[in-house]
Amino acid sequence: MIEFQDVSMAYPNGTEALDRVSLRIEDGEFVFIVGRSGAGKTTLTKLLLREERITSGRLTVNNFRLDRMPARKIPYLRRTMGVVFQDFRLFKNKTVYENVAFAMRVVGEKVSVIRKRVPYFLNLAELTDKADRFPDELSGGEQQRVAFARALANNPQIIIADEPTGNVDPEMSRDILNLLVRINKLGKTVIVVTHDWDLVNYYKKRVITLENGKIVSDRVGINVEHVEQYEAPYVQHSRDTDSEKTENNGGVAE
Amino acid sequence: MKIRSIPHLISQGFISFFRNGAMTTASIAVLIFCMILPGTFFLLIDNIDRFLEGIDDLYVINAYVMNGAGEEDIRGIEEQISKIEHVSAYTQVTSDEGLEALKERAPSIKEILNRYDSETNPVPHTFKVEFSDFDEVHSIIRDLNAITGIDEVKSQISVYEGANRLKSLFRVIGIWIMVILFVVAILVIMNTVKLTVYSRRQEIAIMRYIGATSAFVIAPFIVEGVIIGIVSAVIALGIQFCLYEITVDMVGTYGGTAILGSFVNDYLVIIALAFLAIGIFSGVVASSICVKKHLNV
Repeated sequence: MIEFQDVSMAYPNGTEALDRVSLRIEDGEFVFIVGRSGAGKTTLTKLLLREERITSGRLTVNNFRLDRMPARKIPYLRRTMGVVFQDFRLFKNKTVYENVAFAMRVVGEKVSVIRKRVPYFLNLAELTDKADRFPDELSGGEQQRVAFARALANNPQIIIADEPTGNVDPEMSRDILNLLVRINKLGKTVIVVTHDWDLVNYYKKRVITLENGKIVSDRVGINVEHVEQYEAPYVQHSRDTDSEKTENNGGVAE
Repeated sequence: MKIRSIPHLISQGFISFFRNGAMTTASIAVLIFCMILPGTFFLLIDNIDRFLEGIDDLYVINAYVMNGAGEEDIRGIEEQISKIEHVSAYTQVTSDEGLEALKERAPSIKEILNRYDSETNPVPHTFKVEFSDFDEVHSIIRDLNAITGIDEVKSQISVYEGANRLKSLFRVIGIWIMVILFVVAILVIMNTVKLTVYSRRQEIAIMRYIGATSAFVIAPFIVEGVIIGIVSAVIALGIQFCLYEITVDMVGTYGGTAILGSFVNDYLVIIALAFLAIGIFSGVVASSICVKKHLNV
């Protein structure tokens, strides 16, 4: 469970990144966090990972009180979350298998457990046949799936995907989001930070919209009126195709 | 950090050790100097001690009685010597005993010495005065010289003092060289570890995101520093051994006995331990400072 209570965060240079944000994400939810550049999305992610500290308020993530947590507990907080980045952040000198296994090695997992679980996650990410490849030998979408497999390796309660489709083609974007939906169905909380409105609209999940460090919308599906101000072409496109997509993908869209 | 992570972390340290070839070599070279130079001074100082221990009568002052002194005079002198402070013991060598001893020590002139009899014996009656504290030797010599009937007082004090001055000089030079080279070694190792930190910056960032503890991130760098220290110690020990053996060969023997101590029997253990201590300590200190500075952990 994630709970922001009146959370504000200002950078040392005085820039106020988040302003009295309150929100609650229950276990097993699927949430999109959207907003323009500088809206506060990245800061919100950094706060969840305790890369940055909140200035005021109260922030609880998986029973860790981040506003008063000592630095030595950060690794243990992060082990309850799996993070996937736009630029994948894979170990270039390790194979697909080793990348996933390394995440388990970091937490001191037994070799026998690593040998048993890595193939499971590679299978989930449809990467079994690519286990011995190095990241540079894979497509963007495949690399992102490796990142997901690694994020899942330590059985985290929360998966945070920061712009996961930013470096992949639109078709692959849908595959990645489908994978996230599958992960969500395993009971994991999934938080996707994105500005791909098309994709957000397609999945009909909870969408939290940030603007100038404040939550301006928190609802299922995108707030078209609000988004229209700065993403007009996308919204128009979304409106036109919305009903069609829902019909064709009834099992996915809600 | 769990115990089962240790083999992995050690292997990571070895990988870094081999990855930074040039800088690792530079670190090892400086550390070797840091060990060999003080090691050489230690061997010099210890061999001076050995030399001093080998000197006969180092802790004895010879007080020669004037020729022609009678038994009564000698008893008087003995009484006065017995009263001198800090004298631990004394023995007497009569003129006749002295002549006999001289004949044994110098067989080549025995025939000449045989010409002397009790009347013409030039060897004076001698008091061998023993002491235990070199700090008091000057006062004992002064008191002996003040005794009427004592012709001459001789001791090895000048040899002892000269050797001690040399030891002090070597000790000061050795310590300063060690301090300066130690600082240089720390800086060079820090630079080597910094290269590893920079080359692995992205990797470290990823490790942090997936929940690696600070100990897990730091350990390979410390291991790298320790490996540099141990490798340097082993090479330095080998070089020190070779240099010492060459010196032993050059100095040679005296009366069938080696003048210098045996490296293997007398110094191997202490020098090996000292080198390992210097190597491991500098490796750990340099890595820790570097990691603290560049990794913010």
